[in-house]
Amino acid sequence: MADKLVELKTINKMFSGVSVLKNVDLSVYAGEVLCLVGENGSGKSTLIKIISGVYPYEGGELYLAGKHFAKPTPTQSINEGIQVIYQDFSVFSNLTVAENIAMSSNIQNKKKIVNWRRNHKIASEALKKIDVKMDLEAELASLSVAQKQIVAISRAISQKAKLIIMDEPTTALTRKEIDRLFEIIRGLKAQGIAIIFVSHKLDEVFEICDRIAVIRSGEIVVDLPVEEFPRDKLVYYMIGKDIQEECFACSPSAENPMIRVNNISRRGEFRNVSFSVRPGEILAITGQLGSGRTELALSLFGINPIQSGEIFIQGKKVKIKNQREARKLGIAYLPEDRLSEGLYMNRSLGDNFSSVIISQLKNRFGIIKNAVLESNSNYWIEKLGMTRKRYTTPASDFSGGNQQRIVLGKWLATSPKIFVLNGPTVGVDVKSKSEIHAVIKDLAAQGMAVIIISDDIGEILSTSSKVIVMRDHHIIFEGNTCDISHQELNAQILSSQAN
Amino acid sequence: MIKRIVLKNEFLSLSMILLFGIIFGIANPTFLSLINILDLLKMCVKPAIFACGVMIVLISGGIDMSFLWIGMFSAYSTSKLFSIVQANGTIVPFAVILLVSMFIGALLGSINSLLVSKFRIPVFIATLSSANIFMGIMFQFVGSEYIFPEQMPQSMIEFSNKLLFSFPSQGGTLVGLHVSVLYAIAALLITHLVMRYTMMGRSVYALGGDASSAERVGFSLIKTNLFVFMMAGLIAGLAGAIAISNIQVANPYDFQGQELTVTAAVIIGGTRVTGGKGSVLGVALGVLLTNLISQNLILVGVPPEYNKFVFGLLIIFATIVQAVQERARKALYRGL
Amino acid sequence: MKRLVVILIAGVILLGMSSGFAENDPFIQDMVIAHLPKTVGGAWFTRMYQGFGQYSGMSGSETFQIGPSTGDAAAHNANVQDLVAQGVDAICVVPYAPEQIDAELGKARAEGTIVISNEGTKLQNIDYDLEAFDNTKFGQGAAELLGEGMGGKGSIIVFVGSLGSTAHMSWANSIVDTIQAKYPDIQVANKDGVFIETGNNAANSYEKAKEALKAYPEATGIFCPSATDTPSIARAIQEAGLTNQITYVAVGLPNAVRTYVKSGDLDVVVCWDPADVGLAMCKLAAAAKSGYEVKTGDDLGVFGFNNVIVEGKVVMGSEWRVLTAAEIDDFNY
Repeated sequence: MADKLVELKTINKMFSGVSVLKNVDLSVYAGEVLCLVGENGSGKSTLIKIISGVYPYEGGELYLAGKHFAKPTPTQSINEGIQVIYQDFSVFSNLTVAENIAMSSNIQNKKKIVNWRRNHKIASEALKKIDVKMDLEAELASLSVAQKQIVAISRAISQKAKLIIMDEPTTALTRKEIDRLFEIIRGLKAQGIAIIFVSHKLDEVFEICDRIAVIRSGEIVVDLPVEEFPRDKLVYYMIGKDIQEECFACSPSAENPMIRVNNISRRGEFRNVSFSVRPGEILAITGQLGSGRTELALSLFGINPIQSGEIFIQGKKVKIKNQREARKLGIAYLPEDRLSEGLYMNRSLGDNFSSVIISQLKNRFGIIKNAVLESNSNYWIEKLGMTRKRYTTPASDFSGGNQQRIVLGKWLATSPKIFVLNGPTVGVDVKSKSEIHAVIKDLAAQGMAVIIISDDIGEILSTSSKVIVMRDHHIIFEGNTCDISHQELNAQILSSQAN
Repeated sequence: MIKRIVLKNEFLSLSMILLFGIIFGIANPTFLSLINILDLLKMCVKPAIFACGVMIVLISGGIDMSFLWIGMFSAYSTSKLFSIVQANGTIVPFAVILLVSMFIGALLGSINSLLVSKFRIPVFIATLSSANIFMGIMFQFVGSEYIFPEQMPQSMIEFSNKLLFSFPSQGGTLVGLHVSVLYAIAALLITHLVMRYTMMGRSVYALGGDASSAERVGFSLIKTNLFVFMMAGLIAGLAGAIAISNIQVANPYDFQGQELTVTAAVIIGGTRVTGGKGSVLGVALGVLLTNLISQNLILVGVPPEYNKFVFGLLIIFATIVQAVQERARKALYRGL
Repeated sequence: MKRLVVILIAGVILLGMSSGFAENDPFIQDMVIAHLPKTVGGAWFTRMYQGFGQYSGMSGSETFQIGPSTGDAAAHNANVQDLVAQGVDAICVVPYAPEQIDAELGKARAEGTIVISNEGTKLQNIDYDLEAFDNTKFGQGAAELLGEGMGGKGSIIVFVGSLGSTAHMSWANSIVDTIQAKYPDIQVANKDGVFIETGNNAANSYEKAKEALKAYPEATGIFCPSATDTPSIARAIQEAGLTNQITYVAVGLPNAVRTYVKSGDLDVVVCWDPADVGLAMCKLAAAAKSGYEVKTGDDLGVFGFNNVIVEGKVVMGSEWRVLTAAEIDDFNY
């Protein structure tokens, strides 16, 4: 057996009288990838913070690299080679790649003076270890999310990390970027570095991990090597009940399509795309990043107007030149990056719910009463099955799943006829995910035409009635979801990758 | 590569300086005279030194509204103290005056830091209130009357008359580079070195970039904050003492209302209002640009009642050009 | 012991009598007078308040000073309210923003408080407004000093502390009018005759003066009405080596400009002692209390106010001091 890097023995933790961790036993060995799976609020973040010395623990024993720590500090934890990469990566977008990577090791070594040549050396060495090339002088603000993540990983490596904890590292990545991340993880593993991989995405868990530990309500309910782990039981372990993955058979409430597009194109983005969606139908559009799926969605919402082809809504030919027109035609769009595009993070729930329909809420003097805001918000809070919160709570205080619901609510308030959702459950845990799916299906049942852009095959199969696969800016496959299996659809998407 | 240089903020400020230089030079050739350029440099001394402190606070993510009162408090108290000492027969060297003023400035700065990190008051509000408190304390306990040239510490008056490379002008007086310009250059240089080559300096950038990340990578935000405000206070103390020496009279109201002119210069110099970005070179150019404009409007024949208006317009122009360039820069990086 | 008591009683009676006498002089009354300047602190108003001290010594009145530390119209109004609440007999105010304080002064008068103003000719709700002199005449006087100093030829630069200051603007305008009428060979250098604003700020006026001297190298005469800015302009003249070429006439406080008057950079200081203004304000307050109506030709017993001119509520002095290197050392304020 390899070295034990971390050992937790019957660890307990309470927050203001509420027990969040109960007798947790967990070990991490050098060179292994351990997946820590659990719903939001199951205690995984607390567990990570105890290992990294942010929170003190109350009962039990904690060993880092074989040494007992009664009250570890973050610095001690770092000195034992433990590094956490949070979801926001804790990188500085105003600084260069080199400085970001070298900064922590400079702090760790109590440097007072900055040696820029040394910074470059540290950075290029760390990048070399994971076999990545990057412009060391580039400012992080100009990099993609995936590149920022690589910077964060390199920074961990430069601090002689023995264990890197990655908190939902794939949330904001495309499939291609995820593959690259996995390559990096395998490379680190080969160098004897252990990884704790926290994720919601079940496919990924089985793809990358050596061992899976499931945490539920503060207890480790199962901890098994991946070969022995019953794949179909994972969701059950996580939420304590089964969620069925079955195809969604829709019942369109009308024969005439709500929206029909005919041969629409936009140069360099998509070409000759045709499809139609009837009221009550849910159409999924999938494909690799860069296949044109997001651009297509943006065109439907008027952000990038089409250059040729026709769009019919309820049989009437329309031109969608901007978002305002799209909104007027009854089209709503849920953006991909909910944090940057969909929400006013600093504003309250009520303000967010009302932002799109603000002109409907104001009275004839142009004044909006708080009571109107409140009743509007409370309606959606209940409708979306959100934990009852005050409508004055700022959006930034909500978890990922709830933020997605706020954006949903914001657009639903416009009572759209056509709803385009781009990655509706990215970064959302399993339970919230199935709730959001239920909401979407409910919307379709009420006669809305829904278009989902997604690369989550399970989601596509369980929520949509039709699926379109795009590749190189055009449609390569079209079919009913009930006629295609998980593997077949996957193969269709992968076939595009082969090209 | 050329594109990158063109899109640097410093390049832009420099081109604007040249542009206005040419326009003003055509409007009135006196503008390009050596005497006028030497005067311009001297007039930049006070705003340039103050700007160093303002830049540090801006990089850390706050806007300092107290620097002028810290500067006045430190400089006025120092000159008052040493004018009394002098009246009793002891002459104090200029270096001592500067050090005492800087010390008082740093002390007042640490009060700002206390308000910001201990009581979690936003920097703008904290410094706005502390500015009033400092002013009140000074008027109540130090004084509010002028300190006239004959009362001022002799070394300050000597300093104000010191020229480098001087030569006689047509009128028979000596013309040359004022010694305080060297002090300003030193202040800029030291600020640059501290901000670029010390971990403390880098921690200010980290704080301004993302405070919670800065804490997570192991910076002590309290220490960084203390550093930011003590540095800003120290610099303000230096700027105040040099400014008072240069005009040979300590008038407590003399700096009043100039907060925004200095802050505007710093921002025009490319310091980001939301924090995390800023360079000393940019700030120096920003100060040069704004003073070049504001100190030469009479010379180029703008009627006095339009001076403020024209100055405001030119600042807006400079800021718009900057915004356009920022967009171009982003587009360039995205293209890479 | 008995003798001591007798002496004390006698003293008290004598004192009572003397104050009794005082009551007969309409300009000397025992009262509580508040001085409310634009701002407290600063050489000018500190000196003005010394006039109140003198008055206190003459009349046994209680005087005190109150006011905001920076120019602030709202704080000024609040000060008036406080003073009325304290029940002072008279408020001697130098308004920061006349149109904003007028209504508040009206309330004060309704409560029976006497209101005397300085630099407040626009005010309605006052008993008297005291002005040191007629602005036009003052400008004429300054223009003559310039004209004589320049030998009747050359060109002048006219500064003002602020383009919004009534006093500065009327002096400056009067100077230009007088020069044009009496000295045809003197030009006004300022572009379009618009005065250069020095901002009542030592550093700023120094910079503006340097700039103006470069912009108008032909200038041989300068006038500055802002006491704050006068020394800095003198310094700019000195540094430009123009001490002998330029006739510089300016308003200033002797202590602030002494160095430059002696070095010849500042040729003539025109001034009036703010303490005299303060004392004269107190005397007007006393007149208002005793019910005496001040008339043209009255003597307030203060330099500059020995022969006042009364127009409506405005009481104007008729003299100011003209100081050169010879006289400057006789004045210490």
